[in-house]
Amino acid sequence: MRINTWAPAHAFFSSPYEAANFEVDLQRLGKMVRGTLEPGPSRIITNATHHDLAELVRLGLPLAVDIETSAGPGMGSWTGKDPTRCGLKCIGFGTCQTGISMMWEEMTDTDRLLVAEVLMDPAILKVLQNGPFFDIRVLARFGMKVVNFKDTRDMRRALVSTSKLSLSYMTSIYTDFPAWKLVSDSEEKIAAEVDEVAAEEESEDAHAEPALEGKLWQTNDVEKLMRYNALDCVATARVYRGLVADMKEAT
Amino acid sequence: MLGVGPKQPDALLIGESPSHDDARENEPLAANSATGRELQHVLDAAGLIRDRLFFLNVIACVPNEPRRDKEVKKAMACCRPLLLATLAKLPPETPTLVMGTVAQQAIDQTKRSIAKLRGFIEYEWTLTDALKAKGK
Repeated sequence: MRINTWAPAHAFFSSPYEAANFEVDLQRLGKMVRGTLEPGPSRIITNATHHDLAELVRLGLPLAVDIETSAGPGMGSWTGKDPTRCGLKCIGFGTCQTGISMMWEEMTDTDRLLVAEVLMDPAILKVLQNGPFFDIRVLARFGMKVVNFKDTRDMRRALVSTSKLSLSYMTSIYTDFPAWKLVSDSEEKIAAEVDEVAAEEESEDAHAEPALEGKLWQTNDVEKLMRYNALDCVATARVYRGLVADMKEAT
Repeated sequence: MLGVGPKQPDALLIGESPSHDDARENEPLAANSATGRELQHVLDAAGLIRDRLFFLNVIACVPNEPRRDKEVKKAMACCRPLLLATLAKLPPETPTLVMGTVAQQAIDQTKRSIAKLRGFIEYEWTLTDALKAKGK
């Protein structure tokens, strides 16, 4: 088992942003040595139904929400990342232990009704990553309003105004997740894309957003997409838990 | 000097190459070097004891300044047999921290940047138990 981090001289003397990350990585090495890493989610459900969602809601915990999108009908593939034009592929919900994902086109009316009710229920706290700028706008186009939500990007920005805000970055800070976005059939393709921009980014701005974020919407493997969707939800829930703890400490 | 530490270390820390201070002390990330002192604070905070860690560089010699990619690659290739021999003597399940792009590329023999890999533990979750796929 291993973890990767910055070169210590770089972290300590060249990049003040990365010194804190280096410390986090060493803390995680300590957990590896002591065998106290947090295990992965206990349940990941793909092709979930309203029964699974109802079960999750009954736990009474903050509910992470994440969507995966596709290109708009008859439009270029890049529109998959445009909240005003993209299609909706799947919607996921999660807690720190369980993630579920539902395929939008295969959902029954009952499924869709419960999803809309959960999103609109002011008694259920929803947690999103980049919700106001993407997910919430897309969901609104599909007739679902999100009420009572918190956004992990906003929370992190409030804590550390200069922080990177991508889900993969915050997951690396707040959770013991492996690099789940890299583990896929198209790993080589993604890795190649990452490599292309990596050298450039590192030299120009080591503080930039990871290029990896949001690449998986191009995949045609629906089962895999749902699994990532569900894992993204668990990651978001765990990031939220870490952010809440940090915020309490900061105040 | 490539690596220093116990035969059954708590963890293995892999870095790039020794600094002049390290070479003088004959120890990677020497405790008396500027980097070593900073590292000590972080190790303390993480509950790691320096004497129980194995420190290893992927390049044995102090590189010339300014560093050139070609020279670093040449040095990596030159030290690789020694690196592999050192790694082979350590228990394979030792928790490992790979520090920096050069170290990561020397270990993995890839061109991936540490910027994209940092912070994530490389292990496979067994998702089978957690997966309750179709046909429920």
